[in-house]
Amino acid sequence: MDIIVMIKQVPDTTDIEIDPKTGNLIRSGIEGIINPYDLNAIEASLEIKERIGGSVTVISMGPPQAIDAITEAIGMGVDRGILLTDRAFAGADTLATSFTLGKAVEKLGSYDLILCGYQAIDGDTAQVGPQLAEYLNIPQITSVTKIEKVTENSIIAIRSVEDGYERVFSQLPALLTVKRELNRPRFVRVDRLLSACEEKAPIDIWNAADIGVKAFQVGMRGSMTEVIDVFTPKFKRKGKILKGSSKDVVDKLLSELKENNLI
Amino acid sequence: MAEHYRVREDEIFFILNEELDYGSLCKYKRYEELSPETLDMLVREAIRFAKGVLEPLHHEGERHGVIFENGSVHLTPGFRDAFKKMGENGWIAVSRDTTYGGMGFPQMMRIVINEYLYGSCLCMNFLSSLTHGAGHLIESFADENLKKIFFPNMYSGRWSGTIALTEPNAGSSLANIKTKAKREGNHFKISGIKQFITYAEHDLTENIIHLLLARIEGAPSGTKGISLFIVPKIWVNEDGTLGEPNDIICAGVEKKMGLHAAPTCLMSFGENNQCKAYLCGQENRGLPHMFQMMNEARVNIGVCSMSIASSAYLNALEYCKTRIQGFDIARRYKEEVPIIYHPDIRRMLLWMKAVTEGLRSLIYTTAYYMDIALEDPDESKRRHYKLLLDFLTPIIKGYGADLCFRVCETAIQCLGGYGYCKDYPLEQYMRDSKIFSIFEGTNGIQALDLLGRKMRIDSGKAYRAFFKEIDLFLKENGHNKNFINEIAIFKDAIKELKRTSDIMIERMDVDPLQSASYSFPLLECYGDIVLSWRLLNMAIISDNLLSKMSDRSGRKAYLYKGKIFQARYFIDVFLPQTIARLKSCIRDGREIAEIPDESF
Repeated sequence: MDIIVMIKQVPDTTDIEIDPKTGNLIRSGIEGIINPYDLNAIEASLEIKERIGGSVTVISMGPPQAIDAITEAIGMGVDRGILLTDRAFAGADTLATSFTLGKAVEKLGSYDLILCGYQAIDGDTAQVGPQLAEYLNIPQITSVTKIEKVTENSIIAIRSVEDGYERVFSQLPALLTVKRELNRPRFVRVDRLLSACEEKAPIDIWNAADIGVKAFQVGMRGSMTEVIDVFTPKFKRKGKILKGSSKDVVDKLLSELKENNLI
Repeated sequence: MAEHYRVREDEIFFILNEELDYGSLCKYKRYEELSPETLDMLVREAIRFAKGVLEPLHHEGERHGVIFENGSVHLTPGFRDAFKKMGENGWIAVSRDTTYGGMGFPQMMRIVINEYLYGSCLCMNFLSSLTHGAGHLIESFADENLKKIFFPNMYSGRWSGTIALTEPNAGSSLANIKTKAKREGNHFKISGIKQFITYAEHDLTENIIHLLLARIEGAPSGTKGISLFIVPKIWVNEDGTLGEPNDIICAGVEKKMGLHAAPTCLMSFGENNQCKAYLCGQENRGLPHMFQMMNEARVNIGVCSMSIASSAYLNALEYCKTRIQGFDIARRYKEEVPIIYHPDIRRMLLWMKAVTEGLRSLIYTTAYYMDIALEDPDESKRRHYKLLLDFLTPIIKGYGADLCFRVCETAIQCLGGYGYCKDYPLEQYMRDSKIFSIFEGTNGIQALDLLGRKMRIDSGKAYRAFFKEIDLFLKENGHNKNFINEIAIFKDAIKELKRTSDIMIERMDVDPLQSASYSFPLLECYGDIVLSWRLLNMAIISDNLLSKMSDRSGRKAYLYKGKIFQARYFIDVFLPQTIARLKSCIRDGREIAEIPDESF
């Protein structure tokens, strides 16, 4: 079984501090890590490979330093990594990102299963996985918390929904987005990390030309949405003192709470 | 309270990159396939592994403890899986040669990653260190066939190792060892009792390999008649297959003040005259062989000390930033303030910060010297750094161990009543770390090693190498205008240290009682001064980096400023006291030597 895992390098938010003056996140000097959901996707791919054989390839789109994320993934046990890096890719929204990833998948050729993290912790959109499945025109199972059965040509997975769980069957190839509950990601093995850091490590670097896309199709120019501003919401407490007899106060309180949809 | 271990990556990488440029080790032929980025990645992965796998076991181990039943020792269930992962993932033998199943990283990296592995779960990482130490002894001294049999199993974590030295009447003085070895064909038979043997019996691994000191029949008395043996719990045949259980009994486990998750065993070897062993290395050379491991172990105790002290400080810091209590003494704020605003709390925090970061710099620097001493093509450079390593080892062990205990105690003080409670990790840190000043040679023995051996052997070569290194530092930095005051105090301290040391070295020959009476205070003075050396070095580097920054309010800028503040504080406040203490080491008063026993 040939599995592709999409990974993203994100800032380690556990290490992020807020600038007290501007209220913005201080990103300088913050180490990049593999998006935690993507670690679950890597773990799932390795477990499937260990059970039924095959290969695992990770693909990441990002700046050159995102190669560290691929190196770590190889340290965990994946077979090959592809870094999509090009100035033209910068500023991509989720649609342009999924388009770029889709083109890379097409270049790779055959595959049976694509695994993505449910969402990235820096953007929280949860859109790239589903959009990629749409682009490739393959079935998708999102929010997967358990992979029940995998065969050469089908998969049964449990996905979480608002009020419970769904058990879903799909033919392969298919795309899954996975949640943290799915598994406990393994740690890097030092010998594999060493191999991943060697010059002959199985890591390819592809640019826009390599995957056959034009600059206007990807990155900011290929995006349908644009982030105008990023800001920290300002919360202001509103105090209100209700006066009158106990009964009046309670009645007023209840009606205010109802008006504000709080009860 | 599952998360107890705190570590700051930026502090670590400051020393590794800014202070030492540790990536330069990759220029050595042995490490030419590595890159600085690979070393950085190893550090980050070690922290991730330590936090993810080992940290949860710290409390679990303390709760579960050691269960001794019918000669068997049962440990915290999670330890088994964690040790297996440590082996499989390559953390036991990071710096061992790839020929023997190691990962081939610089020696320094073992010291560096040990900081995080010990800090996350002290008890668990002792097993890893013991296995590494025992394996390294086999690697260094056993014949090829034994190496092939034992390494793959030990470095992969299938088997664990112990170091069996101490006996009921042979602790600090190993010359008294009575355990016997009798030749029988290709192997030996061992009989004797060993005490205080860490991890000598447990249920975590398939086999336990004891590296044991014993005296072959007819061997000379004293230290010159001791040999080193490999004694497996389950006999290992020469083809590597497992045989029958060996004649080894665990007679009991100690009930201790700390390290509750690690078994400290009383072991009986050969009660039925059936305990088989392989000789490791040359007959009667056991003690010199063992000292290879012992020196590594002593630096490792420094690492444990630094790691626990650093986490204690960072835990206290976090508490002091969030605990709101009392008003600002200068009335700068109307509301009650976090206790970090109170000057006396800041005093304790700044002292802890200075000593833990100074100790880390000292240990990482010494670890860096290890690789220069082994790999540099220039023989005179190799010799110089080997001498420095030898000289600094007892200081790192003795001074580091005591500092750790004092930092833990100070951290508890910062938390007040809560620090004394089990809700916070500090009381356990303090109990666990007391042993650091006792095992692997008590701190008193470290002081004697420094004064009696390291300062005097080979006509004082190691002693001279230390002062040569300090002279070099002062030559490069002694005229820095931004640290005129600190450099002046440091120079005075060095001058006084040299004068005192020379007098005490001379006294060791003519009046050893008087000189040895002050060996420990002397070791403490060396500790204060080498710490100041590292603090000053970090401060000068930081000052230089800071001067190149346009924005001095970012995280890095605060990191650099911290290095400057801590160096100024420690050197200005504590070094004058050290200078006074040095003078007291050579006083004429003979109270220690002459007070009658009956008068105590």
